[in-house]
Amino acid sequence: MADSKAALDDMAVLVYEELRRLARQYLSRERTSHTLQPTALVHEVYLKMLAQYSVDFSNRGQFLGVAASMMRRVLMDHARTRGQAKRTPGLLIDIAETKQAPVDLLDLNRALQQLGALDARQEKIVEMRFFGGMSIDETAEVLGLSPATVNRDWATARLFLSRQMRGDSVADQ
Amino acid sequence: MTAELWSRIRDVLHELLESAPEARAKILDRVAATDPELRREAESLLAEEAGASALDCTVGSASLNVDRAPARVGAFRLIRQLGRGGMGVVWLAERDDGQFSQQVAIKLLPPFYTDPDMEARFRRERQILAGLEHRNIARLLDGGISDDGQLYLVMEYIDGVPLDTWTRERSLDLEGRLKLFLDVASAVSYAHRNFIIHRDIKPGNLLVTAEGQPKLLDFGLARVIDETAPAPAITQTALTMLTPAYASPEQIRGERLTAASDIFSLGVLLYELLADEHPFAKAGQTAVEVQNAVCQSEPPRPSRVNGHLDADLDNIALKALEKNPLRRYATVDALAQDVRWYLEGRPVSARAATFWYRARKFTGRNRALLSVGGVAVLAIALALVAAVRESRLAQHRFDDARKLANSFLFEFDDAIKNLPGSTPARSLVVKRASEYLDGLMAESRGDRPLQMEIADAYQRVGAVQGDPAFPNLGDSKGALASSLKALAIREALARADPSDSRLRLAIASIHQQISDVLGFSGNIAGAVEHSGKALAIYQNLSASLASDPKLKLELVIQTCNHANLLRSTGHLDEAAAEYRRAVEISQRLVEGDTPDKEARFYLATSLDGLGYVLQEKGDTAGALQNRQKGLAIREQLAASDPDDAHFRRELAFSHHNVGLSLVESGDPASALTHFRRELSLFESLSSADPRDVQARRNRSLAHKQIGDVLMRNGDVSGALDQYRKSFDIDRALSSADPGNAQALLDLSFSEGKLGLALGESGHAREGLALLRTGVARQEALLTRDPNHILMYGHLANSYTRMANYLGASGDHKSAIEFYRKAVAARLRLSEKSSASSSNRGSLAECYTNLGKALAPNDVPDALRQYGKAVELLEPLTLADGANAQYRIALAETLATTAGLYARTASGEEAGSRRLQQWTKARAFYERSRNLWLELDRSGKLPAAGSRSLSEITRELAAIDDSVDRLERVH
Repeated sequence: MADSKAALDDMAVLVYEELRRLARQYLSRERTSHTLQPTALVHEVYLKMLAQYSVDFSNRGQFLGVAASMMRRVLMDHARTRGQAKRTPGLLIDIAETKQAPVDLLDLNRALQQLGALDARQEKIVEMRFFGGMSIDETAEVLGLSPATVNRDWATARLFLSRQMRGDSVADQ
Repeated sequence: MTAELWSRIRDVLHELLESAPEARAKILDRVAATDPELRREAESLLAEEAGASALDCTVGSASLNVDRAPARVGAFRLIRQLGRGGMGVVWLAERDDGQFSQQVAIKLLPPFYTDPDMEARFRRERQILAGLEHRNIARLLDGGISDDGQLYLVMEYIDGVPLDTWTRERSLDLEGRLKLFLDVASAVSYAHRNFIIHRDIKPGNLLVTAEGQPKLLDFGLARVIDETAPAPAITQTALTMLTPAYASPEQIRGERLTAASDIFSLGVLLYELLADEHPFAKAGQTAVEVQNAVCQSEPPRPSRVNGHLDADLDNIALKALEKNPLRRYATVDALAQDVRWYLEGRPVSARAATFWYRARKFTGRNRALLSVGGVAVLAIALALVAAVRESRLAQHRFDDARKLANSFLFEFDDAIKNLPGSTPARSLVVKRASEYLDGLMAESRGDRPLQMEIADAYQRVGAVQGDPAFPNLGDSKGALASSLKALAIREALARADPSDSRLRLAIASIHQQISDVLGFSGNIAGAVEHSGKALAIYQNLSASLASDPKLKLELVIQTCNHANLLRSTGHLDEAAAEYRRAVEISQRLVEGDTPDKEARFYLATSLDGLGYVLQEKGDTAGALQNRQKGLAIREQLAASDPDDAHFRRELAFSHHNVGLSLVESGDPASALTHFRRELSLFESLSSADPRDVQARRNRSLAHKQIGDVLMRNGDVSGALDQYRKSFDIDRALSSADPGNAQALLDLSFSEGKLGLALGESGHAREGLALLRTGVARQEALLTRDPNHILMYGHLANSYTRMANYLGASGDHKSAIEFYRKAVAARLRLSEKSSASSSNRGSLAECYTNLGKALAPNDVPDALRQYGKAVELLEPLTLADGANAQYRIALAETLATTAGLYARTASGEEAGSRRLQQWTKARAFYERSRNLWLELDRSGKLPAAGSRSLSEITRELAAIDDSVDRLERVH
């Protein structure tokens, strides 16, 4: 188990580097769309890791959990660098299917950190769902919880995040 | 908040979320009883349900966007994204400053603005756009720069679906589509009047509301972006933001834009509405391929795609889609007017081929100055403003220009309220336009694109002043001055860059305009010179770009234009030579590797033109031959495309022309076959489309033609039937459009013809009344437009008919009076126009008629008139060996003259005088007999001729007898 944990930590570095490289490529100015699909990216990295390092993760979910966390870091790095260049920080999370207003990544991150201070498990659930594109079942499996619990935590987490982020934007004005 | 509190809140929330909404209040009350703060928190979080669902993203669907959207912009809160495109992201937003609730669309522009002047330019443009208020334009409400430096525009929120989706989903019929198009056009026209060019008209920018009202979005936005972006790096960006499938060729080439660019985009839109297909883009093409197609390929006629469409609609759409902006409609209003006219069943202004349009304006077209409405003025104003808006001149210059152009339009608008008689307004237009362009030109040194634009504007101004091809102000002198300025600018530009072939084509176009203006004001030599220069440019270009068949075709058209001018100005030999050249070039195109219908079409056109001029030259055999060749080609074209109304119409014209030549060559039976074929073609055309006024008019003309031939063959009742049909059609057409001079003229013709036939068939009073009505109608038309010189010819014919009629009914004095009027009218015509042989033939006929009427009471005057007729006819028969008509006329006149001498001889007392008269009579009879015999040998002796021939033989014998007796006495 300890070995496995160490392997994961080592792997996290690799995953982080790989994600960062891909993200830079996707978000570069030379591309017209300026968009990336974080979840697709995470899966891309997963496949690459399997092929390149023949790492044996106990399961795909475990990897995704790590990758989601790394993905969040990559995106945050990107948002901050852009922020320095552009006076205002900001990456936008655009949720095509729901037709809802896109979410500002920095706002989300701030709210997520606040949630994490109250309940780390909920932060992790959101991270895995959001940045790793993991399903409720996958998340439940990796965290050793029942899907019903994950579902409940996910629902209340979203209420919290939504209120925090609105508060942020009002405070911004 | 503490973790402990959150944990308690979370438990309450779990409970709340899992219970039905009506049970929630109870739970909250229970919580409140022990912990009011817990209740407050739970309640406030529960209110986030809607917002939280936004975060419930499905796996794989989240994407990251570089553009940052602020949660608020100005007084508005962003609600959801409506769409995104090259021009930024559009949001649905809501005013939430507590004042009032209002949903709007907010466009966040792409963040590439760094120029310090940007803000000022942006504000200026925004202000202009905010002034647009039209029911078919989505209003711009506000705009600015948000705290974080993002440009935004607040627009009226339109809850609608894109135009193409709307028409598809509602399976809208043609009329519904055209009405939708007219709404869109009225919006664009309104904006143009306010000096705003849209630049990006496409279905995606056109939302149709649930009430069916189309709304045009993003007016002038492309401009705002261009204007606001730091040049020049962004120009490329702005270009790639455009949708190439709807951009005009000049837009794709990155040139300065005028209102004509929007007209092109409207053309694409109209085409799609008509054909349900894009004129240029095909599925699977790349943007570059589409761009090439827009700039180079000719779209198929919409009716080829959608067989139910009328040729008029083809012509309208294709005229809007002309590659050359100058060939498109001059204004959106002109385009809309054609569509409206189509819907009302009136003839449209768009013509399939420039050739016919151009050809017509030198022939029988009514040259009354068309009313000078806003159309002409707008053409100037827009050309000016386009030049200014696109210029990179200093700010103050821009403002000045806008002010000027504004006052230009509005002062003029006020001035023309008192139309007709708009002389003050005219001088105002010309003065302002010229002053303004002169000023701009002085500042334009070195700015090549601006100078090109100014030259275009001068050309437009010149056209409005006095190009007879367009509605104009009738100021030929001013038109010439402006056109020459355009020419001078373009020639200077061409000296700097001789390889610019588009510039050379523009020079050809201004030469053509100068030629038109000169021709109209009577400077024939000048007109021919400039038309020749235009032609020479085409010849040079097509020699240097030998592989371009499109250019070759243009060369054919230009050659025909030049030939038309030569023909109409009496240069018949030169005209024939040019037509022959046109035949040769188009023949080669037809025989080339990629023969297309258009080449065959113009080959037929050239042959027909050649036939026309040969006929006028008096070469009936040559005319007939070429017209028959043209007919054969048009038969093929019509057969290859039986649904194409245009081809069938041209075929009918060919039948008509061949018929005319057959009449001239003395074969009325064959001529009748062709005229009847013509009639049946026009009948089928007009029953296929009852609104086709032109087809009905042509039907009426064919009836007249057939009636004439029957009448000449002595079949009065047959002729009467034809004339009556023609009269009925003409009366209906004229009462449907009472101001139409052509319709009135047509009606006067059928009144004359029907009146005469009625008289011949024993309805004297009715006939005379109709004849008088017809004559009075034509006199009124001539008073209305004294420049319509061909009216003199029509009047001469009417006077003659009138006189014939009066003479036959015994009123010789009135008859003589009308014959004299006919002669006078013919003389006026030959004064005003170059003497064509047909006018000389007709004048001779007038003299003969007058002579006959005078003969009973005034022999010397009668002989004088016959003498004049013979003098005119003799050279004509010598010049045209195949023309039987002149020979017949001459033979008859000679016989009549002879008869008169013979009659006076018997009245003479003195024997020597008598002998002298007999000798003259004999000489005239002999000349007449020789002509009849000659006609007989070529098989063209008419029935009247053989009667005359036997009479002459009898008369000659009688004269010989009398002379013998007289000599025996002495």
